[in-house]
Amino acid sequence: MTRVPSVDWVALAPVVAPLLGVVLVLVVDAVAPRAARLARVHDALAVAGLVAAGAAVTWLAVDGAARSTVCVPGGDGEAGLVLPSCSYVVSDLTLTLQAIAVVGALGCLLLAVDGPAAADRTPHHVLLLSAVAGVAALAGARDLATLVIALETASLPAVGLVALRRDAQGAQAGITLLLTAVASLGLLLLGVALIHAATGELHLDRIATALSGPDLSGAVLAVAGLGTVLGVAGIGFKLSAVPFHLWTPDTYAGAPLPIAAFLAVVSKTAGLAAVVVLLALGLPALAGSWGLVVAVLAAVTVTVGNLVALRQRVAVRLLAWSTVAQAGWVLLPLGAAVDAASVPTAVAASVGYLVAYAAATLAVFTVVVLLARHHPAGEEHTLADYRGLARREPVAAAVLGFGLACLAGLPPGVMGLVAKLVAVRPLVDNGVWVIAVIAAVNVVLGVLYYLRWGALLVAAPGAGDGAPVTWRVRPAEGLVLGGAAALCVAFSVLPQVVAGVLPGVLR
Amino acid sequence: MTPHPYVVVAATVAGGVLFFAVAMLANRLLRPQAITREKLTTYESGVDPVGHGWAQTQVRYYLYTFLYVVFAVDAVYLFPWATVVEAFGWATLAEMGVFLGVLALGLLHAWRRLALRWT
Amino acid sequence: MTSAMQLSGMLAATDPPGTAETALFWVLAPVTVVAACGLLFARKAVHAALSMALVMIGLGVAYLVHDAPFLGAVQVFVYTGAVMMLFLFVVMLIGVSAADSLVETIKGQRLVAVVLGLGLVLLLTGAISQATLDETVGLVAVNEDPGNVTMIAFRIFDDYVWAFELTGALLITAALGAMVLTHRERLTPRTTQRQLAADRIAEGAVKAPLPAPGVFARHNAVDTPALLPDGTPSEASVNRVLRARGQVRSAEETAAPTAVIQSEFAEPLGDGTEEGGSR
Repeated sequence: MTRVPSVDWVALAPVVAPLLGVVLVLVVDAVAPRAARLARVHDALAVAGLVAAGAAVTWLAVDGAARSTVCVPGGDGEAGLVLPSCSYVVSDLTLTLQAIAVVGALGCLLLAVDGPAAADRTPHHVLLLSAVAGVAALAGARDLATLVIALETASLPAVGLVALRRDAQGAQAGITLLLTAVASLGLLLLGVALIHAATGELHLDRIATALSGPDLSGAVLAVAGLGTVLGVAGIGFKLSAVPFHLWTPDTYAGAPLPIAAFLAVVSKTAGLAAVVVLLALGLPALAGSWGLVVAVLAAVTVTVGNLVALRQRVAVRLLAWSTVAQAGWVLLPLGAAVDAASVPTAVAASVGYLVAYAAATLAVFTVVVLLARHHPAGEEHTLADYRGLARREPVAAAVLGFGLACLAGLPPGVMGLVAKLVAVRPLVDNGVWVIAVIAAVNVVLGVLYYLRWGALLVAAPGAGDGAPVTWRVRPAEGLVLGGAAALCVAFSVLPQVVAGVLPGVLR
Repeated sequence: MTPHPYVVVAATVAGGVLFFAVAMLANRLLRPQAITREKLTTYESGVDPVGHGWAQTQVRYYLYTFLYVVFAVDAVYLFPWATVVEAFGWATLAEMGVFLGVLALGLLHAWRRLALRWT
Repeated sequence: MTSAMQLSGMLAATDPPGTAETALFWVLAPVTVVAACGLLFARKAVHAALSMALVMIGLGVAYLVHDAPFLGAVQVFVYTGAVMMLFLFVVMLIGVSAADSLVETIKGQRLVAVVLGLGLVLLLTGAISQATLDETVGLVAVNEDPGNVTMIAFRIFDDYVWAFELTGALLITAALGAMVLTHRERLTPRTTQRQLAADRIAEGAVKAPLPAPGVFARHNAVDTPALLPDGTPSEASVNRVLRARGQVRSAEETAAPTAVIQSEFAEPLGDGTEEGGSR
């Protein structure tokens, strides 16, 4: 019985690096609390944690070796040889999701560093880094226990981050998010418990094997199917898929803007990672049933998100509803899965769409943050305040316009166009025509409001506007603006990156 | 002959009930009783009872309780851990050290940030 | 994790359950179910919380009886102890008012909630009731070799050590999150009484009590302003709420029927004057 657990720290580096950052920030804070001159040390440690995680992801991707760690040994089971199963696996899927989370979080950190985080550096940095560690762990999680704990580690810090706004609206937004998170955790745990009860396994590969056996009783499939539905519902809250989206607009509007960006980019990545890991890696055998559920969920989400976004005037609320719609787009390809064989393409399309969405959303949010900082209405500013932005701030307006084009999938934003094509292709290939048609209609709906916003940028300034404030962009914000824009342009020039983000097999 | 384990459980429960019942009964029998309506009303410093007895607690209690929950969960892991330290040796000592160290850092943060100070 | 595995074993009749277990089940289960209903339907939050404590204890005893001593102890220790305390503090924080809010913020939400809840119950019972587990090892066998707690420890600290370490990150996040929600650091020193007094003098506010309203010969009410020595009404003497509502009575209006007063002086009433005269 005596075994010494062996851990491959290199494989775990993308998770451990942000956690080390957390520990160091806390140690520095404990040594000298409230020392204003150490503020930059805190910032540097947080950035270093994320950069180290990014470096680890890059190194692992370049190295290319198949790594897996924290394994339970295989052996002779009743049904023959059982392969060893691991709790953490480094694969293309893992690394891609980790890369999105780390880059997105770095952007949000730089946006927040002198904004909402300035008064509460330690909690902000610790919570943000923990969330990133959670997403990174989630991307590599290959058993149900790790999956649940990693998903909570990824989503719970968001509550604290939202509440950092320190006013009544911020507290309300935080509590809304907390209650939603708790309710969704309950559903997820119930679902996971049912899947475990049906299969008797915790490791996803073993669950997949157990469910793909030839002589499965209907009862096992019924329990596992119910568990799957509940699990999807639980994760649906995190992704803000309709009908689990009700927290989204209030929370986005009540959160500090860079944190709203964090919710839109990193938390969405966590949600997709959980869906993909659970459904595609653990339950590919049930793809026929969950494919339909996800397809309906995605179609409803896209439609409702777009329809409500059409009516929004406040920029943040429009973005909140737009992220609901985009979450539907991210889920859409998974709805095309009809059997285990069609799962890998669907996952590749989903993750590809997420890459495009994350880059474009970060670009749009950066400009919104900048405008909110230079506008008397702050976070409550409306779309009308973007009128004539192209004349006052041509660079920011160009980035915003390009980001919106990418989100809408209009020609200059080739990245978004390709991502939408990639997302719809599995639907067409597998003959899920109804959903494909709904998706096509929603492309038009999305274009309507993104275009309306974009057109305001180049419109002539209104008569009632006072003297425009000259923007003073901080270096960190400029870095995010440039970086996000560069990513959007790069992916638009080389759209095959988005299209073929996950070559090879799914593991 | 050893008794059935559940007999012991039942005996313990019965003993507990008996203890409580005897104490209350003795109290009842020994004390003088002259209850009036006036005596039964809630009384506090001469103020007539109005409304209900709820007084809002400080939100800080929540933080204390929350920290208590966190450390209760952490203590739960300690019990099984103690049974395998010998088998797993240093590696598991390091595991638990990291776990406890991280949690202790949280407590240290709360302490250094004066969240644990009442005034 | 491991506890869930034991649960799946618990569902099956491993050994024929003893009479004591059966008797205990039939005592515990109804109590737990009734308490759970109390949690749902109790009007007062405190009663609901106490029902919940009863549910927790019932479950804990059930786990103990079914050969899961560790799970039972944890259930009582963490849930009945720590988590219930958290609940009670929240109840004390937000109040124990039994008043039902009858306002539906979203129209028809109660109906939808009830329908969806019943649907979920049907779905769950429908799927779970047809499931039978036939090949379970049984908890007695599982607990046999190193013992229940040790076996769990082997699982947590070897197979699932990564999840265990992540739990540390989750717990510290929870602690910091709770601090963000409840604790705010004082960045400026607390203002003293002395400072407050000095500030009040400096801002030039009225230091004396405000003039009392409504003291006028025929009328004594808070909605009538007092008259200053020069005869103008004093704004400050009337509550600002009344002023905002426009419910201030003018002193002149009250003083207008002076003829009545004059006549009262001119033609004294019989009884009153006699009494006055006798004085």
